[in-house]
Amino acid sequence: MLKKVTGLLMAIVMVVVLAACGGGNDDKASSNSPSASSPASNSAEPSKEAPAEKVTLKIIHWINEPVNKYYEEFNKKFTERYPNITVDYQVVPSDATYDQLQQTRINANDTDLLALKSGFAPIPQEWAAGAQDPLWKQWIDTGLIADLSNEEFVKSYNPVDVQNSTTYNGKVYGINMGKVAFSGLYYNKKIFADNNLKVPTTWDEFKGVVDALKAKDVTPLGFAGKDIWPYNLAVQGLSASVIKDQGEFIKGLWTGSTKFTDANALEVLEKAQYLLQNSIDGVMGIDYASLPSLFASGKVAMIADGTWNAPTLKGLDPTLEFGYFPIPGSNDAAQNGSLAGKYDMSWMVLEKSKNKDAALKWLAMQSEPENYAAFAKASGFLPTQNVQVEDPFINEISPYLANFKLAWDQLFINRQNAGEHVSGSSVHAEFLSPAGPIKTPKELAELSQKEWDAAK
Amino acid sequence: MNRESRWLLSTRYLIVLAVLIIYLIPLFYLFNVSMKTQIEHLKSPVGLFEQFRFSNFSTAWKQGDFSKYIWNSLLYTVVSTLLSILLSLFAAFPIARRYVKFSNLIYLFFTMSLFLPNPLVPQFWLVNELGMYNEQWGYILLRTGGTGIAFLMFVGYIKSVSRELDEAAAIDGCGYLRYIFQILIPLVKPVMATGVMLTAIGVWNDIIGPTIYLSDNDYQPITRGLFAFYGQYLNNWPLLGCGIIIVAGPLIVLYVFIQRFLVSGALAGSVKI
Amino acid sequence: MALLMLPLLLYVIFAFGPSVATVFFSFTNATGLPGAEWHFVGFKNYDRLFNSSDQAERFRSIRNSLQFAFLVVLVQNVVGLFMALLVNRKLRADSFIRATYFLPVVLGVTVSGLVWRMMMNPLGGPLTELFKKLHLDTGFLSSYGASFEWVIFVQIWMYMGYSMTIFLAGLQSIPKDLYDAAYIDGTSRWQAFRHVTFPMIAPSTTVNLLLSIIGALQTFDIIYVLTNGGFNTRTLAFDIYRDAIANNTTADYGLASAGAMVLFLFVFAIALVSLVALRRREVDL
Repeated sequence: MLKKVTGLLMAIVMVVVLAACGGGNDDKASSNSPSASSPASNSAEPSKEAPAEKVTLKIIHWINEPVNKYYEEFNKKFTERYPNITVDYQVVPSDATYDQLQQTRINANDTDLLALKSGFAPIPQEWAAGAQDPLWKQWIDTGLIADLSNEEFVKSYNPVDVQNSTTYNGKVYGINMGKVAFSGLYYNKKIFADNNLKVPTTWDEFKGVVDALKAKDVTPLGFAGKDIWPYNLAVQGLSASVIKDQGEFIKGLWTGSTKFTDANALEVLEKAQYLLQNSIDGVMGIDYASLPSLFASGKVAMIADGTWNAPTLKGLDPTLEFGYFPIPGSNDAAQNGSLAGKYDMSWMVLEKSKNKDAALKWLAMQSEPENYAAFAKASGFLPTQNVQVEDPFINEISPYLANFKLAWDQLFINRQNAGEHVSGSSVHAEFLSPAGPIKTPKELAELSQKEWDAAK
Repeated sequence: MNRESRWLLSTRYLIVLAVLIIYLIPLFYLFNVSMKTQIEHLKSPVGLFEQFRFSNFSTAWKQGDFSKYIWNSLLYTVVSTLLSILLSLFAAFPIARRYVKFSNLIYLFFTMSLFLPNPLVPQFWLVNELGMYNEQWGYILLRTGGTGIAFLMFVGYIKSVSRELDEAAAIDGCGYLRYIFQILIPLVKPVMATGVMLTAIGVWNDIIGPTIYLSDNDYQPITRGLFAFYGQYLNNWPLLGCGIIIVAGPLIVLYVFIQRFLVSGALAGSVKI
Repeated sequence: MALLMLPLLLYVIFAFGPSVATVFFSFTNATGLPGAEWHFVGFKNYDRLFNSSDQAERFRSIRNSLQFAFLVVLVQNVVGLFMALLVNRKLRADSFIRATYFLPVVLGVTVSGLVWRMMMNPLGGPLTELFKKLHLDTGFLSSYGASFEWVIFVQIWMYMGYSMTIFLAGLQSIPKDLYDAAYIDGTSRWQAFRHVTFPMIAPSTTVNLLLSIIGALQTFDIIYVLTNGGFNTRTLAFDIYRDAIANNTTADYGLASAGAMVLFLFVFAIALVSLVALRRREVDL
């Protein structure tokens, strides 16, 4: 109590000081402020009480039902092995809610482990000078993330994957839990069979499938437009198959040798618009959480989603027969033949965590091969440990995974404060009619290029 | 005044009813959905429910963990509403009576809170510095204040209450606190009821505050629980409907009790800014 | 009187102080990253607000804020006054009717917002079904063209009853004999409204308008619940929240504070102008 009162008094003093600064006394303030009130210097104080026997390990994660269930089970086993550690495992929706939780928790040093939505991407490049650093890099650079390089459990993972997913400046700062592909479409096998349709391997074949479905009054496509990113997965699929070398293209955007208005970038937008034109009514109002039931209900023949959602689809209706194929953006079947994706979630330990030890124990136990295999099975991820997961769905798509490549949002490095038509990490085809206000791909491309050039 | 023609009367009824429908339909729809099974809802989303299924509520109650959240909400709402009302009264009385120096200035100072810049950033920083982040008492303290709408209403109302009582009390040697509790509070009851209602609504329904200042799942209020529940059970509308009704329930009960004071309270509040 | 210090203290620490400190933050490059260096950057944040590649969005936020405030204040109060006049006279079940109009205020933003999201859900929401039958646009909360208007609609739906109640209180304070005198003079219904009712409720009108203007400019929770800022529904107030907390880049305290200052200037200017205008009108009447 006393502590709180003193804290309160200190706050009053600080407010008075701040208020004085606000009054226009800027030079005075700048001379004493950096040390006095840098947001971190106090909040990062070591824990108030001496560490007791009992500790609570705080973990934040997002909603993904099969994975959440796995972790609830795993956490129980963990507590059995370490009875003094209670696990506080919190999940929130995977949209901006999670980003925000990450922000506030890191800011208040109020979690021990946190899940990053991907591996370390995009990798900062020399040619992209002045780009905004990705969050993970900012965190690492300010010393918030624990260095795991010397932990024994890192060795359980494939060295290549560790290198490509969570290594930065030669040090390992996280554990990546697996790869996912998301540049494909789920298709309803029953609807395809009823209409004598084959999985398309070229853009023309794809258009044939769409036309055939429409002729039978079946809505060809469904997207979770409300959240936008799920629709953008399909756009990334188009991009991965239309633009031969996305890395070169992005570098070119920075150096000026390529533009958003180039023929191949325009082609991506045109085809993205085609997808919108052939999707279910009200597509931009569908939440990501209701996409699986839309697909399972048979109202649409195909949806865009990542391979991570296969367990959810299976769980929703075990009799549902579905498959997955890469979006054939080009007319070259070979170019279309492989899926693009990313390293999915990675666990990171906070350096200033009050329970760093417990966090490391948790990660070590998670990394034990049988636990990891159970995770991979539950999540539908492509493993980053050398374990075999017998999963019919993964087996079926394995031919598409031979030349696994990184998708656009893992490669694209953005400029700071970019306008909304180039903001974030995706190609914003959702602005095209009928979903959005922009009539033609050309207009959108020109606007994007304009905003790109204007961004500093 | 009494010469309202039949035609005018029926138009009046017609408009009032038409608007009433815009208000009742969403609420009825909500109830309708909550009484269905999921399959019933999928088959005919806008059809009437077949039978009452109050068991949906207990399912939603369990799955949404509402029993945990509702205590938090009650704690935050009751404590900070009572404190806020008390503080408002403490602030309003001397200012309305001009028993303190610079009453007008202080009044102006308090009303400035209505349009001062959004204090979100420094507030968040301050909360972190004070160790109030993710603390229940911290959130309650943040939600407690004596300068909100209740304060304005009290000042307006107390100005209209005769001073003679004050003087009588002073002669009696009645203590300040005793005076406030024994004489003033019964006098300001209608405004107080309205103030309680409006303050409670604000705290109970606050969704941004808990998102920012409370991170522990165990500390979340019921609105936050509902929001997460909504994201998680988008497939299951009947459960969602139940969840929404559960959250709305307690305030509706409070509302039924306080409703009759509302207009007289609002009258006091609208006296003067 | 010492008891006055308690509310005063709380107010200074948690509301007034932070508000003033916003000025200070708006001239720094402080971020939500613990331990990051920060310093004064002059007007850079203000420059970033209006002179970046995303300036079109920033200006749209301002336009949205003004549109939101204008439409909400206008419609909510006109309809509120109109309904207050209608229910002020004897009606069957009038207390039930008044209570229902006020109910959304009690339900709050989360509940009201989620109910309307259900109503407007593209997969089987009743409003969607109805609009489909009428061949109207069913984009609702996910159309770049119309979603902001729908947000405004829900906001008005929520708070019309509030305005109505305040007007009702004003109406009930008008002495009945004023009307009797007017009717004996043979004035028409409209003239009675114009010359008796309207002047008498002028003080409630002032409070009502002022509070709703300020409130509307600062509203963002309804946007958070309905669209989370998507589909061109961001306002200045929402941007502050977004820059401060909810963006998927590091929280930008400087930028958010600069945004808060800009919003403050708007609120202050508009409130001041309205207050002067309303007070002058009260005197004139």
